[in-house]
Order: sequence, then C-alpha cells, then structure tokens
Amino acid sequence: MTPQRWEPCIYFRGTHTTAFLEQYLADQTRQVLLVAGAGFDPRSPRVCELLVAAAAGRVRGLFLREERPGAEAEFGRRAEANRDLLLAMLPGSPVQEIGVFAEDNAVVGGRNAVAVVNKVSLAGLTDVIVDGSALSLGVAYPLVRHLLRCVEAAGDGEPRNLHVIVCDHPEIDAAIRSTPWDAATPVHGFKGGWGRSDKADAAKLWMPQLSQGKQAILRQIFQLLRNAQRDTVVCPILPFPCSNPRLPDELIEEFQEELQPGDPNISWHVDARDLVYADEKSPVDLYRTILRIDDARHRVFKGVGGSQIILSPLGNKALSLGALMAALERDFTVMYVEAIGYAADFARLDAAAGEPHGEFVHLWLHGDAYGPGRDKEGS
Amino acid sequence: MDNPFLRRATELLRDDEAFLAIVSPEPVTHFLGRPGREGTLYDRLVLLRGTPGSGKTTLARLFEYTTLVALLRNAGTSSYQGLAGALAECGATDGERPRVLGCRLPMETDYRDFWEFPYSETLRTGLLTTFVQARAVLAWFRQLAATGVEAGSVRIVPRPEAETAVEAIGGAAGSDVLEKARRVEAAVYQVVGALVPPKADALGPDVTGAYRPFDVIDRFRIETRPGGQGQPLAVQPLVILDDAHALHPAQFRSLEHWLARRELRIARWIVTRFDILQPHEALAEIAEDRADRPDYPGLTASRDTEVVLLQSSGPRREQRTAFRRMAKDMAGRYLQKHSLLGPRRLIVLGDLLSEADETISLSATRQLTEQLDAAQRRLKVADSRRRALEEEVEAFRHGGQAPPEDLRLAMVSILLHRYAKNRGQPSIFGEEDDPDPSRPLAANAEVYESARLHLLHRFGRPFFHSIDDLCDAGSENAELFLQLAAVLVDAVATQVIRSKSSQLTASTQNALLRERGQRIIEAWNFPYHQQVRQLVRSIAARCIEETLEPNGWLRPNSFGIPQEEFDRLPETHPDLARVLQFAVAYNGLLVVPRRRQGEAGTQWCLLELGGMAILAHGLSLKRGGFIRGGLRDIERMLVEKAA
Repeated sequence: MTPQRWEPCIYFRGTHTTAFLEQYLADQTRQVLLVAGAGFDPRSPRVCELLVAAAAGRVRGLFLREERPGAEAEFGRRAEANRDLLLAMLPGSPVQEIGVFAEDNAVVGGRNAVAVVNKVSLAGLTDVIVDGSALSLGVAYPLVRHLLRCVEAAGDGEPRNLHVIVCDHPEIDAAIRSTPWDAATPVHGFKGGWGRSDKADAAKLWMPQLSQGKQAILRQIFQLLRNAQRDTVVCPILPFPCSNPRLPDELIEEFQEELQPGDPNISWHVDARDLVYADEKSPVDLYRTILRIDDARHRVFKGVGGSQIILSPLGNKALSLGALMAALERDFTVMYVEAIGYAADFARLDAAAGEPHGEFVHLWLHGDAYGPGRDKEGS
Repeated sequence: MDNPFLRRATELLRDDEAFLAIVSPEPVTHFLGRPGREGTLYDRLVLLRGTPGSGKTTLARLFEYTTLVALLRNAGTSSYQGLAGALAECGATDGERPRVLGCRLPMETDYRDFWEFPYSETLRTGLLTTFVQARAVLAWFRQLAATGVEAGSVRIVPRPEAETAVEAIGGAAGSDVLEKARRVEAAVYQVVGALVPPKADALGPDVTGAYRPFDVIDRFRIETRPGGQGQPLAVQPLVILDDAHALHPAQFRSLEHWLARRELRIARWIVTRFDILQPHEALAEIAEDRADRPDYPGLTASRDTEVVLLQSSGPRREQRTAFRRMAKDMAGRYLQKHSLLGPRRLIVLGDLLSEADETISLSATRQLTEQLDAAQRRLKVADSRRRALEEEVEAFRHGGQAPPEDLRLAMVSILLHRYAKNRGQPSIFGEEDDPDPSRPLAANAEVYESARLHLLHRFGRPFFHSIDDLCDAGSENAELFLQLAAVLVDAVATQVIRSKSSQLTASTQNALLRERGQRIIEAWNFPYHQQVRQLVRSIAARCIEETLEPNGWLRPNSFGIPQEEFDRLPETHPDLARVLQFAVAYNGLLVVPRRRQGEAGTQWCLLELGGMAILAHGLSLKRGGFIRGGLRDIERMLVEKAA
C-alpha cells in the first residue's frame, strides 16, 4: 500500500478543537492569518470569534465575499451584517469581493479567489487558517491547495503551518438550497488530468457524496462523466455512522432512481457492494477509504490504461474535508456544479443559527506537527 | 422492461452498431444533404446551432470515423441502408470507404480558462488554438486506433504550400505527429490547470512554439488498413468542436475567425447551442430575418461559413412537416428495438395512437344544449338565425366527415356569439327581428378548433391525440419528442401485456401527454428555471383566457411584443434577456421574429410557448395566434411571482 501523507493526521472535533486552539495559540509567537467567508451564512463569524478569543491581537483577517448575479436583497443584508461583525472583531481587515461568475456566466470563483490570496503577503506570519464554513466548494478547495503550496515552499519569516477549520452544522446546511448552474466543471486546480489524452483510456470511478437536495447536481455531473466514458463506474458515498441514524436510508430513498436499475438517463447501475460508508464526523475516515480504493484500483488497472477517480464532495462539510485531503494527495479530479444562486428558508436558518454552534472540525494540513519529511503534495 | 425511447442515443449506446440502428437518416438528409452534395460541409467552416436535445451531438457522432467505419461494415444490412445512403449523399463516405476522418472535441472544460489568463489576447488565442489543434490530432489518431489503424501505418499529406512547415508538427510520419501532439497537449494542459497562471515569458517552447497542424495537414494517408483491406486510403480530417458555447464570446469569435480562413484544408465544424452566446447574440441569432433563406430550411450559405440551424427557422410549415417525417422514422426505429413491441411488429407509432374522436357523455351533451339555449336567450338571437347557423355547421366537414354532435353544438355556440358581437346591440324590434351580420359567418377549421378547445376545458374532451399532435408537441426537438413518446409507448406495452388492444384511445393519449408536459415543466432545473416557469405559466394563463372567449375568435399560444422593443431587449432589460435566453435554450419558449400584423403592418416578435406548456395548459398546437403586449407586460408577469 502506498504510504499516506496524512497518516497519522492531526485533527480535532467539537470541544477538542476549541481546547486545542486555546492551547496552541497561547504561544505568543503565533501570528495568524484567518482566511474566511463573509457571506450570508450565519457561520461566517464563528471561527473568527474563536481565534480572537484565543490569540487576541495576533490575528489578521482576509475576508472573502462571494458575489453571484441577481442575489436576493436579504442575502446581501445578512452578508453585510456578518461582515460588520467580522470587522468589529478584526478591524481593518480587507474584505474582498469574489465574482463567482464571469460576465459570460463562466465559473471563475476559484480562480478569482486564488488571485486575491496570491497578492497577500504572508511575511511575519506563523500560521494560516482557512475557515471553510461559509465558503463554497469552488472557492474553498482552490484556496486550500494554493495556500498549501505556499506553506510548503515557505522561506524564513513565512508561515509553515496551514490549518483548515469548518463549522459543521447540518441544520444550517439543510436550510440553504442552492440553484445549480447548468454545467458541471472540475474545481479550479483540481482537474486531476480530466480531459487529458493520456487519461482517455483510464477506467473512471466516480465517488459522489450523497446528500439531501443534491440530486439535480449529481445528475448533471453524471451526465458529463458518462458522456466522457460511457462505462464510468459509480461508488456513492453514504454518511455512516452519522448523528441521524436514518440518514443513509433517507438518502437511499431520495436517490432511488439513481441507485436502482431503470431509466438509463438517470440510473448509475450501482451494486449494493459499491456503496462506500464514511463516518459523518471523521474526514480522515473518508480520506483513508478513498486512498484504499485508489490503491486497489491502481493495482488492477495499471496495465490497461490506469485508473482515474473523480470526487464530488457535496453536502456535509466534515466529509468534504476528507475528500479534499484525498484529492490533494493523489491529484484526483473534483467535479461539481457551481451555484448560480441560493434560496434559504430564513426562519429555519435563524432557528438553526440560534441553536448550539454545531461542531468545529479542525485539520492541521501542514507544518510543525509533521516534521520536514512530508513537504510536498503527494509525497 | 427496457423502453428504448428513454435512451438518448448519443450518450448511452456504447457500441457504434447499436447507435447506428436507432439513428434516423432524415435529419442528416434534411440538414446536411444539400451542403454535403455541394461539398460545403468540408471546404469551409460549418456552424451547427440548436437547442439542447435538438440532435447536435448525434449528428456529430455520426461523422466520427469509427461510426462511419461501423456503418460501412454493416451497409448490407437493411436497417443501416438508409443512413449509409444519407451519409454517402452528404459526402462522408463514397459508399464503400470513409472520405472523412471525423473526431469530436467537447469544448465544455479547459478551453474557456485561457480567457482568464493575464496575457495579451493574441497569446490567449494562440494558447487556445494550439490546444485545440493538439487535441484534434490526438483525437484523429484515437479514432484510427479504435478501428485498428496504428499510428505507424499513417502518413500526413501536407498542403503543397506548407511542406516546409511539416517539421513543426513532428514530421510526416504518423507516430512522430502523434508524439509531438502528446507533448504539446501535456505542456499546455499544465498551463491551463495551473492554480496561478505562469508568467507569459515563462511559458515553454511546446506551449508558445509554431505548432499549426491545421495549416499543414491536407489529408491522412492510411498506408496499411486492418485485415489487409485493399488500397491505401486518403481521408480528409474533420474536427467537430462540440458545445463551443462554453467559450467566452470573444474567444468564440476569434476561433470562428481563425477557422474560417480559406487556406485551411481540414474540414471543421463548430457546434453550439443558443444560450452559449451572450443574450444579445443569442436572441439576435434567432431574431435574424430568415425570409431570404435558401431552398433548404435551416441553412444559410456564405462564402466562408455554412450555418446549419437545427430548430425552427425559415418556413415554419415546412419545418413542422420535416420534423414529423423525421420523428415518425425515429419512432419506428425505436419501436423495432422495443423488447415487447418490436417482435410483435408493432413498429408504426401512428398505428398505435388512435385518431378517432371521443365525444363527451350524454349528460354533458344535454348540459351543452341547455347552455346553448341559454346563450341564445341571453344574446337575444332569433330562432331563424340559430337555424341558419346550425345549417352552416352541418354543412361543415373535417377530414371529409361531419363533426359529432358535441362539436356541432360547440361550433354553433361560437357562431352564435360571433353573430351577437358582429350584429352589435340586440334589435329594439324584439327577438324575432334578425339583422344580418356585417360580415358573413362561416363554420370553418378555426371554429372547429376553437370548439374542440372549449370542450377540452369545459368537459375534458380529449384534444391531444394522434401521431401528428405528438410530433408537433415535440417543438421540433428530438429529445422532447422521445420523452413524450416514451410515456405513450409504455402505456401501449402495458395494454399489450394485459392482452388488450395495442391502440391507445384518444382520452388515454390526451391524459398521458398533458400529465407528461406538466411533469417536464415541473422538473425544469436549468438556470433561471423559476422565472421561466413563471413566465410560461403567465403567458399560458393569458392564452387560455383568450381561447375560452365564447366567440372563439383567437386560439393563441404566443405572446407578441413589438419587434423594435425586442431588438433593444439586451440593452434595456438585461435580466429579462437572460431569462429569455434560457427559456429559448430549453424549449420553454420559441422566438418567432418579425410577424407582420395589425395597423400599418406592425412587426411583432412572438414568444411562442413550447410544446410542453401547450400540452400542460391545453392550448392550440397550431401556430400564429398571439396576444399583443409589450415588454412591460412580460416584466409584470415576472413580478407577479415575487408578489
């Protein structure tokens, strides 16, 4: 088996995250850059609150506000309120608007976000923390990959530590519905050889993360993959164990047209043995599972064009971190459909936001904890 | 039970033989026959445009080399002969051997990214064209390899004036050309996939070098064919850039300009759908005056480009007739593949769909008679006038037959209301006074259609039945037609299993089609689908209101806005233009420009409801009837939802 980069992996959940950050950031030499979303999502200020409490005066902020055409005014109002909260905690921090769509409706959010962060000087910092709670997949993934390369290549006086934190709150996720764009694309920086001629004959395996309300998006992605290779194999990822023990059943019911043989435009032709179960609360579990599958496929297909895994991590934020780690390590393709807009049940959103803060999930992706031997992606 | 109508041919059929068995030759002949015979498919840039599901990719796949080889291999089989003839007619084969080496490059990913790079436009276009060329060369060799032709047995025949540039593409030997293309693709892919674009002066020679195989290659010469088949073969390379709407409009124009150069010897097609362009261009494209279209609908010729439109344009009646022909042929091929109906030779869809009218119940007929009597009393129409109108209706024939009683009553009711409107106020000399109308009243096909629509809405009398209604409801879109036909074919199969008649009654067809139309609209999930759905519903509601006017004067299925307002739409109402762009792209609405009507021949641009909406809301499939309005009304319709 190929050695895994994040084995062991330093990560924390829930109260352990808070305790770790308090202890870690108590070191007065720590200088932190927080890169976070300043959108309508009520989770926007949560990680900032945590860091300001643990490292007061030693945190700089860079806040990104994703802009989509024709957004409802209420979203704008909430985003401004969150921005004001963030700026009250970290005064003077830049708030950058990230155009997610170009004027011709091409998806450019990830590229724009990387361009913004690339201009920011990291000198004098020790740690960079990406808060993915209120960032969309198409923006968060490229940012993490870019910052990972920055910290790997860090010189004197530049940060060596990269952390990713998300506030995992399924109730908030459920209250927000995205309106998908009409084209599936690879996430910027995560093409993973998609479309390259030397991958044309590779046996393709698509691993979509099933999540409620994402059926239309996964259908679009499936259509794109199937057009590229008609015998693409699908191994859906189901959250289990999970906080709602009925969730896998509910997902199987919601995706019954995809999971059962039937309409050939829709059915994935999935065998019960193809289902992948991943602990809802553990990104590392999914990360290890994906890499194990990749190792097995590599052995089988290396003589016949190779294997190509395509990930579509939608929904649960903790699991999407696991997919991110796997994609970073093995350069997998990450395919998604950008949201042209959002619809929210604001009453439900407010009710969910008023409840206990969900769970923080922290991943230490690079730095002091891992020693000097693992400084490159894929090493 | 597998219903082949649920399959989209292009994407789902894995092997070429299965694909070819269900593809109809009709669209090939209809859209490509004339330019194919004239050779303009291969000597200039061809632009194929259509909505999703209009058959663009199916046409493109037909011209891929592997498909042509598979077709010729089976040309003796009767089910392939029509297609083999159509492709020979448009010059893709000589009847025995392929003449073109076609490959399809999907443009959905990668290519648009070059536009975002912080380079000069020249460099960005250069990167795009280099990438396209490298991938086209790789795709040509992949097509050859799939038919058993190794790169080593292929040589490039350069254009006479480009022989000196052969080295820049790796040489004339196939394996060298392939190797060079691989290197260039890998180098450019690294650039396009970079998180942060490299500096322009750091780009390597494989990326910025003079790699121009399109300028060099004239033919591919296959020296040794698999199985020792005959003489060496020279084929003209054809590259089909599919879904090119994914490019930035400026990129698209550069690419179009670059491929339209006359010195190129390779054949090149660009396939796009309307919403790929900016709203302004997308709408202008279909609003362009097609009155001077040449003999073959959907085509316009110019010296440098050949435009093929795979949807409504030009003479609409001809379009509809052509689509009916194609749809029936396609349905026959799909039925042959149906595991239950095929072996029973139930392969003519028209025979499975009853055209016989179904009348309303006796009690409903009595109710209708009472309503007619009441209307006569209310309108104060003399008995003698009613008798005259009844005689007019009795003399009317539809398809050589007298209409059944319920329809006759509904027609008389319409004529009665027309008379009342025509006559003006009731006579002051009592009900027996019977002034003549200002214009003669005739029981004609329009009154007949209005009567059928009234009975549909008032008594649920079946309106949509017969193969022609099914074809017309498909909005000249093959995929929509198949989706509608699928539900009827499923019902036929169920009846056959239950040992019942294989023919569907009018009421069954009507119910299934209307429900299907409704479900398709509910399942819309494209960008701005809520706004499009709202717009379609509002237009349909207005159309129903007009349709149900007692005098049945209009059977609209469109909303007309002054052409000049429509022409300024992208500037004056950019958000609405974007909504309309997707409405048109996904067949929610069709744009019919420049209809002259009204005082001083005002030009109107019609937003015609797509077939699904017409089915769901029970409107006439006949074209031309529209409600006059303006952009302000359309805006109001969209705001109604927000309110």
